[in-house]
Amino acid sequence: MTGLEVGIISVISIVVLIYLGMYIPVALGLVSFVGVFIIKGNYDIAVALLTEAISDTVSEYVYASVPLFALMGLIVSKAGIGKDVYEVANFIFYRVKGGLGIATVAANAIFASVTGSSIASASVFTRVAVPEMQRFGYKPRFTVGVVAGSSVLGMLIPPSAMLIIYAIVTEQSIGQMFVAGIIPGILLSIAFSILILILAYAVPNWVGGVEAEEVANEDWAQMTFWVLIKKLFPIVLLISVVLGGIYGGIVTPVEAGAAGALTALIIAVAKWAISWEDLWEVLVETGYIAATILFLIITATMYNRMLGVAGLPTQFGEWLTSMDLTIGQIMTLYVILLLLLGTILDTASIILIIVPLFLTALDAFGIDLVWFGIVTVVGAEIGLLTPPLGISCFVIKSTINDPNISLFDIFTGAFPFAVTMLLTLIVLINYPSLSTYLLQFGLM
Amino acid sequence: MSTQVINEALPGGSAFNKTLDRTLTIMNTLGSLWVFVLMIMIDADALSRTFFNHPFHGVTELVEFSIIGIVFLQLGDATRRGRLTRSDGFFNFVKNRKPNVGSKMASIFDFLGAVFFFIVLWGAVPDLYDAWVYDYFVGEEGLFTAPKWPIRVVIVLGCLVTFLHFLRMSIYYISKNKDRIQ
Amino acid sequence: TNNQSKATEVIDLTAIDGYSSKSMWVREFINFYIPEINKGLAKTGNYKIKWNQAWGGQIVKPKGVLGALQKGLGDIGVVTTVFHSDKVPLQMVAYATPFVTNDPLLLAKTVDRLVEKYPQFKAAFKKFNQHYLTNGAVLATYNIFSKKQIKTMGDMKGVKIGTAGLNALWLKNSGAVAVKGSLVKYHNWLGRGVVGGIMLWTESVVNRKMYEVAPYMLKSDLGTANSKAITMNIKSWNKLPGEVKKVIKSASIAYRDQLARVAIDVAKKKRADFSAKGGTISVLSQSERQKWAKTMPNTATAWANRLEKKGIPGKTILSEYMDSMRAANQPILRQWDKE
Ligand code: NA
Ligand code: NA
Repeated sequence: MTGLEVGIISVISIVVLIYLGMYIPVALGLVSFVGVFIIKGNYDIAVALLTEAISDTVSEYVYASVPLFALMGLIVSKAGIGKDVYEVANFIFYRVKGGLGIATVAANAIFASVTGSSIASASVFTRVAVPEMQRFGYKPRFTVGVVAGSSVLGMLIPPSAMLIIYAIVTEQSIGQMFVAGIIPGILLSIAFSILILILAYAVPNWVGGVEAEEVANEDWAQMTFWVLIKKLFPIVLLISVVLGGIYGGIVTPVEAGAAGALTALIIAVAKWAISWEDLWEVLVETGYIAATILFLIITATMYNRMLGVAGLPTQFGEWLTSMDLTIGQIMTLYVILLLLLGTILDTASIILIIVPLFLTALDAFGIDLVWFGIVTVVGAEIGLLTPPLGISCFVIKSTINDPNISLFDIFTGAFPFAVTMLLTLIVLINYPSLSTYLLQFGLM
Repeated sequence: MSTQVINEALPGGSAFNKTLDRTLTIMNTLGSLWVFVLMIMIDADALSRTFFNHPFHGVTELVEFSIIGIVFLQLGDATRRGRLTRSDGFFNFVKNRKPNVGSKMASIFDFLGAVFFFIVLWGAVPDLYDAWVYDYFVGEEGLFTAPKWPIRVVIVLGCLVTFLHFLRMSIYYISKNKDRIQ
Repeated sequence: TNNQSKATEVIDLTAIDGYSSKSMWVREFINFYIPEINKGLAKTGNYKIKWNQAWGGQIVKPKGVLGALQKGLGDIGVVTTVFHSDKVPLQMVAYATPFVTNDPLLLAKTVDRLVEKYPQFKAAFKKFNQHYLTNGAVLATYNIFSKKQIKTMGDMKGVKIGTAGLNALWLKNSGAVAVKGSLVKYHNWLGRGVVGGIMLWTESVVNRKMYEVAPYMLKSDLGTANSKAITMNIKSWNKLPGEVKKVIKSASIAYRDQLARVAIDVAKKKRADFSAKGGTISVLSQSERQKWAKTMPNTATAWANRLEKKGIPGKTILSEYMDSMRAANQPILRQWDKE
């Protein structure tokens, strides 16, 4: 068998094994092992593929950003900051039709700037926004749909674990990827808000919700200026430390993660919102997140290198060039692949499996890797909302603990948001400057 | 990926299981503490460099070591808690329809996990031996150096417990009576 | 006599480096080294190499090349030896002896001469299953690039300077503070003031547009370095027919010289580019350079002593290296072997 054949068969085998339910890292590692063994006909080389990847992949300074931003996000979730932001957003938007939904999107967008994961966003806002929206007559499907849809902002608006992973895999600057995520994140938030407005007017029975007068007596509707400041102060402080620290020239992204985690901890302690047990739980959880994401990266590296040994990336590139495809056709193909993989894979796995394959191939086309990263992250994140495997929907289901809301309800509610994401993605593909515009100001 | 997979009944009882579980818990504790230490270490370095013009030599190396430390101390326990990334839609479908087949599938998946970690160990143990015998180090002599073998020990240990856990789960599922599945 | 009638044997070789094809040495590997080998083989037509080129992280990271060649993941590649002072310490000779030479061609040839004379050089690579082909000096000389103008040693006081490896030692006692970094981090660091300067060679500074953030160059000519080694996996090497070995060996020497020549050319060109892009170049006076050289710890003796402890004649090799440099009339500021 030629390297190319082995490479192609390996990719197919991995997808099939993952679909059957095999642990993704094990599937990546074992298939890579077998692949190299077949190509090289040598057992030792195949073993070396695994051990070299294990010892040299994640032992790099930048990878510390993964646990640090996870830690920060988890502490922030504990500290009740999500609830505060949501109340402020409600105060601002409750007069609008569908206002509590728009408030959820807005609060998610702000919360996203202090957490790097959509899972954190989904679980926080399931606890904070779902009871509130249901209390005011919003329909369950719409409610969970809004929470699921807006949770994707967590990984698009910086900081973001996915932008970090993409930056590391493609050797881009984490800071630049963060900056690039800002406008697309805001754009998607606006698109979601417009979607909610349209739905509120077009299918009011599907959305639900009471009139503005009926909520006017809520505490948050009568918030004074000082209460508003008090509720926003922690998040403004955190944003200043993390994003301000990076762009103000004080710290590296890794250090921003450490500084953000420490500041979040200080805020949580000052608010009396965290106990020793909570802190321990957060540390253990951070450890699990770090172990699973980084081990996934390690095994994806094995797979990536197996493809390199097979010579697949180069030949795939030559094939793409020989097909005379336009960049538009290639991007269409790419997005379709992202969507297909998004049905069964988590965002990190999609990025790790598909990006290396295209990276070498697209070299000849001279594409902007920052823009390509934003397209990849948004495209892969659509998978958070699509069945059968949609992580954000799963998180909501397990957090909500309500037998009346089925997984099917959540996927149905999230569907309009997934479609909106796809439309936004098409805009982002056609207008690369939306991703790259802010970079020109020499922030990095 | 299942983030909140139900923690299936683990094989209990035997001395081997108890020892392995205790080891996994101890490693998890160390790994979790290390997360905190990592945060403090990086903050201290950044503060010292910014305000006292004094970066600590060796922080880069220690941070790199810490990442490996956290990953491989947590890997076994993360696996035990069902946190290892997987796409289980089809698998759960089979398990609910045909528990017997599901149980066999689970056994095979765990066995393959054990095979994978066995191969990794096969390569990682000689690397540890070399690092120990030949005194490999990171850093620069004259500034800061740290031996490489402790990293290798953590890797070997992490892979070993994960291997043992996969192995016992595989045996557990294959020997599991089909009507004991929910 | 008739090439058509003979069957041409095809040999598969995977060439690796963790650096991308944008790096000068990889570019020359692709555009000079491989064609040179192919040309050599075409003369008889007995053998042909089918190349699988895997650059820029396709198979390894820069630090992983040594391990990947050791274990056969690649057949031939560029080992960045400066990452492996624990494994191939003899390759560090130039890093141990700053202010000695700014001539990469002379350095590369001298190192290879020492390699042929002292079997310990090749033995170090053999321990990692590698056949040493040649070394690569891919930079002309290290200089200082900074955000604020530095003209004297006094100006360096308290300035944080990014360095990547052993040359952090060159800053010890200089008044500057060494911060460990790497090529990919510097632009970012300088822009945000994490460091006030870097120690690097001009080509990298210009290619990575660092003049935007470090517009002052202090031409200090700290010295060139043989930071690369070209090696082959020993099994892959032993499998090669004698004819192919010969072709690769001579192409390697040509590649070595080509790298040095390009490094010199490029340094000149990029220095002009640096000015053209608005950079300001100042020259560190000879007396200041002398002062700097004097303040440094004796990195060379420390290096030689560590080698001696391992049973390698470090002192003799150091003397012989310095003798060669003296014989070639290099602008030596410190007689490292005579202290
Ligand atoms: Na975020
Ligand atoms: Na999905």
